[in-house]
Amino acid sequence: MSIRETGGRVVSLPVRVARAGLERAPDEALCRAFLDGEPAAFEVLVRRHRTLVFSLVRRYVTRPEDAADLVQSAFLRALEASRRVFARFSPSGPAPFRAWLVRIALNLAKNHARQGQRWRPVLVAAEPGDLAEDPAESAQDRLERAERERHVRAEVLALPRRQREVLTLRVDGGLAFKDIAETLRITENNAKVQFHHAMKRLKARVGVPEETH
Amino acid sequence: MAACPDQEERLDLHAAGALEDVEVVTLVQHLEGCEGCRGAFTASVELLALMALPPTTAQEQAELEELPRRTLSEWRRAARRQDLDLRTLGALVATAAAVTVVLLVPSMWRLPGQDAPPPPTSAAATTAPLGEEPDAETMAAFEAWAGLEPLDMIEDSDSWDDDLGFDSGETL
Repeated sequence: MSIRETGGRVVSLPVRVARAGLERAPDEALCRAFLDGEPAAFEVLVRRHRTLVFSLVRRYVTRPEDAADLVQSAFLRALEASRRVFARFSPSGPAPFRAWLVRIALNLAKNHARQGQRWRPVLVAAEPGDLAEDPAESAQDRLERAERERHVRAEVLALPRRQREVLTLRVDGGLAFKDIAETLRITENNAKVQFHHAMKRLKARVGVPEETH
Repeated sequence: MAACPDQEERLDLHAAGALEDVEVVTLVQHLEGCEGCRGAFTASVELLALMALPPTTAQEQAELEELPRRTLSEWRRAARRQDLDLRTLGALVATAAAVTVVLLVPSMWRLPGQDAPPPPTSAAATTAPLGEEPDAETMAAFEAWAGLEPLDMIEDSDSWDDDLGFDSGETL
């Protein structure tokens, strides 16, 4: 059975679809296919979004295993949310899977950081080998830069929630502002303003000179 | 020297690579002649570089590769657990219903026109005193009622979903 979509609303559910069809299918159709018993749809769904979600949550954790656990939990909750929507409402209703997934992941990551670190983020620590090698940079300079990076990353997590979300969705997730706006249910212009305010606040907190007259 | 207030937001968006092409051309022209905006733009680029996380490690890549398999396994495990929970709940509800029927049916099992139960015979009084097992007719009625497949009734109901306290992240 093929996946058909009309105006962004899934009107038919695939029970068994070809692999190539799955790769092209929208998230909502993959959700439905998996919930209807197609395991391959789940694999496609996870592979499609795992890098994005992993990039978003690793800012809040200290260990790769924790990041993987958070990503797994986010996928399971987003799928469960989809299952409930499909079960309760119209079978053709849209389920914004990626928006749910990202918001759930950010929420889980924030709670993880709060519970584990008492909001004292250690974050993904840069290994010595991760620091970019600049021949002109002395060991002392590298250490100072690493300390500044640690400071800035900590200040990012201390930003107001909306500013932090917009900033990390752009910097860590690489999302376009249109997608950020859709995910957070705000306007694109609002997302850009929040991003600017986050940058301005960070500059003030970490000692980078502000750019106002 | 400070940046121009009307360019602040564009400078940050340009530093993040999020400015439209048309706006980039205009901004670059402005930057050529505005030292304050050049300084602010450089500061934004530097800040974004400082906040960027290090590249993913080999261990993180391995975790990423494993994600589809382990997440699917966990989904299946959770589904089995939920199914078991629902069946247990169904069995408990069926048991509770059976007890209710056993307690209520004797007083309700009357034909229309029968206002009062027939006076107990002395034999019945001696063989089925109050509190002992109900008679065969009552048991047959109960068994007919209990044959309604209570597990299916539970599984088909959506009402159980209301009680699971699922948090879809709406409170972000």
